[in-house]
Amino acid sequence: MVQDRSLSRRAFLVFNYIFLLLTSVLCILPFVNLLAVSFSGSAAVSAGEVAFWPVDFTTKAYEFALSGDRFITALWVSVERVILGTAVNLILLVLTAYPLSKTKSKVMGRNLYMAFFMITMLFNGGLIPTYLVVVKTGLINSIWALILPGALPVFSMIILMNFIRGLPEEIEESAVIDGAGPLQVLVRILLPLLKPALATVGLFSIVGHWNSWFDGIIYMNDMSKYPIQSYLQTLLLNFDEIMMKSGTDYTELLSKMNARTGRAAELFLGALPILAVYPFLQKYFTTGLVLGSVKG
Amino acid sequence: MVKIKKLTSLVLMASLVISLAACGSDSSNKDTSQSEDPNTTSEIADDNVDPAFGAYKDTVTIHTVTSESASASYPEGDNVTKNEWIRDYKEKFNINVVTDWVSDEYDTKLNLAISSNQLPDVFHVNAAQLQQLIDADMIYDLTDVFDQYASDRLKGYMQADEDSYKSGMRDGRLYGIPQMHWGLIDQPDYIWIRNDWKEELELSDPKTIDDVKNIALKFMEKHGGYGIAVDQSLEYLNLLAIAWNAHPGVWMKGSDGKIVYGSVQPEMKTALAAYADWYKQGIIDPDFAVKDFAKMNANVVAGKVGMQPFYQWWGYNPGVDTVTNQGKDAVFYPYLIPTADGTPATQSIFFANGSYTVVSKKSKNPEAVLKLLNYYAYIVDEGYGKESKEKLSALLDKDMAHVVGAFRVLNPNSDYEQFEHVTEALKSNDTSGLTTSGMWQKYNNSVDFMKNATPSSTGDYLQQGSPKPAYGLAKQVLDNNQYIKTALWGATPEALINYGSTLNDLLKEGFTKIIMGKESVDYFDKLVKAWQAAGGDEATQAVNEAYGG
Repeated sequence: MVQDRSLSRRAFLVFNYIFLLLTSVLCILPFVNLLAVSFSGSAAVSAGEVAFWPVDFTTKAYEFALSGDRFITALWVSVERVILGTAVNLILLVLTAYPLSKTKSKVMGRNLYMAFFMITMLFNGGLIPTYLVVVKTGLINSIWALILPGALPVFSMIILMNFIRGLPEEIEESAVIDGAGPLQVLVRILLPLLKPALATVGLFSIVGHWNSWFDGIIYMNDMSKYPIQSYLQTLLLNFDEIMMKSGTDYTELLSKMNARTGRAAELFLGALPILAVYPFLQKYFTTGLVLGSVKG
Repeated sequence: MVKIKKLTSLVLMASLVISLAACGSDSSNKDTSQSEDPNTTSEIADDNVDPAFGAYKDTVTIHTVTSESASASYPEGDNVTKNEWIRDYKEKFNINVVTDWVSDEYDTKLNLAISSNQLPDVFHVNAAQLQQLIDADMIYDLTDVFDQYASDRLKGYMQADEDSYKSGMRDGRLYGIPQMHWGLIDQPDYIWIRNDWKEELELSDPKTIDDVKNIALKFMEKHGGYGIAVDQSLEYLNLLAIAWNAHPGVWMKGSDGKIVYGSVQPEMKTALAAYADWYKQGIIDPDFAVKDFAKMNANVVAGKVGMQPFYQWWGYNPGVDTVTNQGKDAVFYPYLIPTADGTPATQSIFFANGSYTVVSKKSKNPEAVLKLLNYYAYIVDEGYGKESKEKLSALLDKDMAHVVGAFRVLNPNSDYEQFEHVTEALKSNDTSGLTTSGMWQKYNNSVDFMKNATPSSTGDYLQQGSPKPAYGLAKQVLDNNQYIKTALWGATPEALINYGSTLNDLLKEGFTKIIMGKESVDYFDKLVKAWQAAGGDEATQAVNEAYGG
């Protein structure tokens, strides 16, 4: 591309950068505020004095959130869930997306299968029937209750299917001519080519598994089996109420933190691991999303 | 029988999915339930010497479910399913309590358990769930068991708040034992006024609602800004409505004996007219419509505003932060909200009992829970002096008193009695009257505030220990019967649940417009018509059917 050095072009670039900079600052500022609140004293936060730098610096809110071994336990459950869940997701995704990317003439009943999957994307059984299924299949109170009900994310499957269709058919043909069976084609030829798409849908799965909290709360009978988001959700649920209950002596803690600083600390702790993973997968994320969408 | 059960659980499930409200009752089940009871009860009766406190010969196992009280701190190795209480149950009564699940999203989880028919033996439910379970014939009729096994103290609790007791009954039979509350003493509302400002200007206590207005105007003259801190929910502003004899949010008996909704009565129009006038004069925060609870309190804590209509717990939040920021002298004191002619206003009292202890129909020992409830009441009310200090501390301190889930019934007079003892001790410096850990805490924190001005003690001090304690005023209200009770003393009818939030939004929006002067006060009449058409009439009718006459 030839560099355009005209004045108007430069002016555009300057303003464009300023605009983009402001936009990104707008995205970051609430997070900075959250961080400042989480490290501030309770009184300063209540008086609305905290903007982007902590006032009366304290780590009490974090001490409260991290107190005991519950946080670590929950964190471990979440890590386990993300690894297992994403692995199961990816395996099923590849196994379904590949055959479904073929035409009706090559795979018998392809459209029927497709409709079968699509229905689950548009409708679901509702909370209680789903719960009953989980109970009757004996998954309740085990980590598989968090993984198996959503084992195949259909939306991700469609992205992956379209991505496979976008690959040149000749590659597969040449492998078949050389004597490769469908499984060999999938493992040897397709998988390496699918990397960017898998990173994309993998990231969807990771974020989805990390962020979901409701299933943990309804399927786990024991709070020590809660994943991190379920644990954080319940941590400060009744904080204000607890303070006022007769017979509660929370004076020491109260003078340093309140529900708002506590919640800010929670939010930050919950978002941190995902923030750490994002930069590494981001390059795949943008390319992968676009790649799948070109050919339908 | 099996068929009926299946059908019932299906019906129940459907109703849960749709609205989580009570489903149509299946009256055919009622008869079977009554005939089963006597057999089961008599079987157990000869197993014991003292029905209220006697231990079982053979270990009885009961399953329960509970939520986790985040504030309790356990000794090493203990938790909500394994602690001093659970061990005592086994040791003293030979009752083995097994917890099936623990969840802080208790209601969701319990609804699922109800719909999948996986009920534990003993659990606690809210008012709506109680009605569902009675309809579905899934819980035990506890009338006879209660008579036979409840201790006198427990029965006394029920007599102390008959309304709550009756809300656990259907057709004169007791299905849910109300877990009660700390007492109605925590319900009256106040206008809180910053004391150093008031003294600086040498203002006297407000005697009429005009005095309240004038104090606000004087504060504004001296300190600038606006006069009264309120928020967008109108919840706090509406605490003042009783000054004009309006009772927003209360379902009350109208002049014709029918139950009517307080927010749409003509008195509310008078209150709104006054609010609109106050708003025009700048007394009410001009930005109230965009302020939530935290933002409302921000200017109080920052020392920019000196009056706030609030509940008795002002001292905990925003009081603690206010004292931290502004010092001890900046405390606000509560004053009873006065009417226009100088008499104290009639306060609104809401339904206080939140949950009921119930027993599953499948339970083999429905009476076991009564022993545990007796034990709880005994430890809390009588334990002091009879049990060792260590024992009581292990059972009650550090919020251990709150970890027992379904096995708890509160004394509905506890806060009232506590307050009497604490004020007495503060007056006489004689602490012999302090008989519970709660009393000691209130006393110690009040003394601590007076001596050291510890900000975190502000709450207990302003509630009970100050020269103008909130509970002192509340006691006056209760003793003089200066209140009306909501007629909605139990489960909310389905129509009201369905329309409730829409109706409230409608009114809140309309009221806000009137207060801010965007609509004239006469807009109120139009608003009431809109409210009636949007489901208000239907809800009123449903409330009258359930609670009228």
